[in-house]
Amino acid sequence: MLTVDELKELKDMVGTEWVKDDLPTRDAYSIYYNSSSLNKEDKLWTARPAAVIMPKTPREISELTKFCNRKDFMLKPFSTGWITSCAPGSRKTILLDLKRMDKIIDIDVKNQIAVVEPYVRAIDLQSELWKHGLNVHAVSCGGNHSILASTAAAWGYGITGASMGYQARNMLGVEWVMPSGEILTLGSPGDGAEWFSTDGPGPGVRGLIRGFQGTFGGLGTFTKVGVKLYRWDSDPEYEVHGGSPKYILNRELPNLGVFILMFPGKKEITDAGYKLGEAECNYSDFRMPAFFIALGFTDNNLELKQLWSTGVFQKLARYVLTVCVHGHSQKEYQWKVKALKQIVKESGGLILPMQQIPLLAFELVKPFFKMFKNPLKIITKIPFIQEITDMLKTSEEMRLKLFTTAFFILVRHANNSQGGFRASSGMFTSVGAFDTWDMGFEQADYIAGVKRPAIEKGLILDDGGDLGSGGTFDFGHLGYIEGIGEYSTNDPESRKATKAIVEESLHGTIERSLGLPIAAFGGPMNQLFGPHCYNYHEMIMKIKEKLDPNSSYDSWTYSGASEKAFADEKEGYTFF
Amino acid sequence: MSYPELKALEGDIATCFRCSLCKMVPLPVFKKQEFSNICPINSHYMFHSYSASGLGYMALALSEGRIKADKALADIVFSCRTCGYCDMACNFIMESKRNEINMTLRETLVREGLAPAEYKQTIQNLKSSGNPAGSTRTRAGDWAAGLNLKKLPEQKADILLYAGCLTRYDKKALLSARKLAKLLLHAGVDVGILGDDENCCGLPAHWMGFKDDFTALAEKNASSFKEAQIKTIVTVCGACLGTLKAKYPKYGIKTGVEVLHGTELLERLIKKKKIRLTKPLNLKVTYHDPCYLGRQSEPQEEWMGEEKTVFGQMKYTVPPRKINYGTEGVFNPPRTILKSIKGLSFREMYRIREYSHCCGGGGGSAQQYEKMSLEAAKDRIKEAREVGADYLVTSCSHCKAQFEKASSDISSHPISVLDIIDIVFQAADID
Repeated sequence: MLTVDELKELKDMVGTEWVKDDLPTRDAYSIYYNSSSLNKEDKLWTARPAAVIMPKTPREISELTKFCNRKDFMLKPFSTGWITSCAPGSRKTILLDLKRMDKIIDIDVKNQIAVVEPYVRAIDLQSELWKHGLNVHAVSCGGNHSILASTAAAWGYGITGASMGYQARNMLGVEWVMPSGEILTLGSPGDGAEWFSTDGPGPGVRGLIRGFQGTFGGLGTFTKVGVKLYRWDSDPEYEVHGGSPKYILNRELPNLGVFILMFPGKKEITDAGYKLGEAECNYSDFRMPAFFIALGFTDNNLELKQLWSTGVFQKLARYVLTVCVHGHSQKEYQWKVKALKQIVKESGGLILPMQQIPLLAFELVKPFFKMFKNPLKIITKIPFIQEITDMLKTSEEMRLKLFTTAFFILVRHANNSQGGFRASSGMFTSVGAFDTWDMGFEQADYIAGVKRPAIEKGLILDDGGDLGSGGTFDFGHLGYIEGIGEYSTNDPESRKATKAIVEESLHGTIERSLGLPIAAFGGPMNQLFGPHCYNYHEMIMKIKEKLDPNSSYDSWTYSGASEKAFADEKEGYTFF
Repeated sequence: MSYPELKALEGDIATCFRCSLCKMVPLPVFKKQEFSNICPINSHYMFHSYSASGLGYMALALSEGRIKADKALADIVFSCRTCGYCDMACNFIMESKRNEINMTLRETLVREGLAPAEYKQTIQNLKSSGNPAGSTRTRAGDWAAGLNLKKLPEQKADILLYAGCLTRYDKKALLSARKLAKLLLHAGVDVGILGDDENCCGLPAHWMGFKDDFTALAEKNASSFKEAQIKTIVTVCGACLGTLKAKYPKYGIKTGVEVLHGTELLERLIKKKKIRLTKPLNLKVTYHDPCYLGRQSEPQEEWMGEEKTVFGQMKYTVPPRKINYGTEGVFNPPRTILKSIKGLSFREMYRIREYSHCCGGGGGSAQQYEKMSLEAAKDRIKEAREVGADYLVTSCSHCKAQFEKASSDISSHPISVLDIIDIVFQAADID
């Protein structure tokens, strides 16, 4: 509990209106996405923060940091604030909501670098960049996430990773309020820069502060980031018609195409992924699991029930890769499309026509699909099947509708991925390592098996098991597929089953050497995975100890429960 | 203390995963960072507690007994302008009840006696004078003096022209009502008014959270409409339209008549050439969609069906329950009218139709929220200026009054505010 004097001190630093310690506000900051995973009583609530503060400048954050170096409190900064990693780990934590820091500081077109503050959302930046013929990598949770967070502090996997890489690679410069309160600038924000400090090549401080998963606000506050940009050679903006929830583009965008590729098996889809990357013709891609495809075809859960019950998607759409092809010119675009078609053909796949198929059609083909284990294997063997498929006429309206859907997912990050979970009320993720493209499918198979008993008992959604979602990175050099599942936030048994699945899958990834999963952060997870991964947990502990000896930052999502946390808070958190 | 109304909504609150889309335009229509935020209270106060998501979490905290119904909570809850955007935004990604949660929380605090003093006074005025400002009831029909409109229910007419209290008692606003009446008479429409017997539609009681007072007033109005034996009600004010068309049925009150806004009827009359817009107007205008004429006027159908579960945890409804996206409000008639006026240059703002930005004037007027409320209007005026408009046109008396107040407070980019009826009247070139 902050004393009156302490509160006054904080208010003097940032202004009275930007410090809140009333209970309603603190409770409004005590629930996050999947936060019940932190609550021992299976409630949604995390620890109630001691206060919530909205600073405006690095200088103010520096002062607040120094305050926590002196006092028995910790800071926990976050930007757009969504997932539980933004939550306070202790009742002694003062949350820094960085919403007031929302400026795009600079767009250096020549050097392809943008400098942004924490609350600049991906869609804010992307909308400005398109006017300059540039684009930025965004993580797959959607355009409403913070670019700074994914660049400097947390994860970084996204659909445009095929050509733009994993976001940690795109961090070119950073302004960092260190746990001591000092303000450090690293790297370069580009031409006309406010700073330039050498850092690398080779081992650099960026590796220390960003690492693989990020520090999740456990090691100071990042107040600016210089992020690498990529080319965008299509329209600077677009117009839509229609209304919520179906906004349709007025026309397709130039130098841009979207393709739905279907493959009969794992080998075929992985081969195609590598080849597409080698040819550098996938601007972005997304392995869309069958259940999500069925969901995308429908407007409500009754329709989804009818469509999924045909069983056609489970057999036909198990290995689907949606791909966006983007050319710097029309000529290059056409070459890339030609290459894509050739690769799909060589890999034994099929490019689907951009056509909405009515439910009746699925009912009609159902008996045929029931006869064969893998009907796509037979279909793709039919001579000239692609040529025949290509001849299927699609109305302009239908084509535009499907183009829009794919465009919003693959390029604009505007579908809001959570919209994909309307089938149930909650989503969980478990495994999902940033490794080879092949490994992604190994993980997807594994998690499908772990989910199976709970599916059979009706405790989680029967999505067919494999809800692995992800894509290739760095033009096929890497891949990422996240083992997703859906559960009910309102059913205690469903929540319990979900926790058990996550727990089992985390141990399973170690036994099967499936890579470091997305959930591998924070004290208990570091302890679990560190010994199998160069003892990284020890390194993290050392970094924290050296850089933050006074525990000025709440580190539950980084090195583990902070020294300052109450005893009951140190018992350890799990996370999914 | 237990709050059964909130308890019943706990499951719906739990579906919020804090994506913050309730604070911004839908991602597919995003154009510019500067004009992307929508929630008026979040744009001003910024803390998450000032958002649909935060209000939901606080409602859950209250329901579970983690916090008390006190002034600290009330200060946040009553700041909400009840524009209803959060509901539309959340429904964009999943079926939700954000607006219902906000309103239930507000109604709960009203029952606890925590409403701002100004709100309580407004309710007193509604009860005693039939209008929120407490103006003299005997002057309620003065706005139509000399127009020779039929007086209902003593006389009979197909259409009731419902002026609304802000229009009736405001010297400037009543001129728009008079112009609409003249246009209708010019087109040969069989129209009448309730005169001094016209009551407030009840919206102030609704948006301030005084549920019982709202339903009492709505029932009284429904009864007077029935007595007047009309077929259609035409409202001058967008706020009245949304109340009569959507909020009455939502609270179980049926008027049994068609409810139209003036622009809807004018559009029909222009189409039938009963009104001709012959006079060119060399104006650069943009149009502001009022919340209660737009998204909040979408009727909320009573769903009578069955909820079932399949695939373990997937809920579905038979027949499918209609989700309110806010797209069925009155959006096209004002635009069609404006675009049909010769010489008029029409341009759209960034936040339009179902994702229109609130003027800040709804939700109840309390001194403590005035700065925030006017900031919302100023932000909108800035947006209108940004798209090159010299005139900000709207079709709600509340919005118009709010923009006029805000514009007079802006030195850098003030704007002229017009009611769409004034423009139609001018273009129709009638006396």
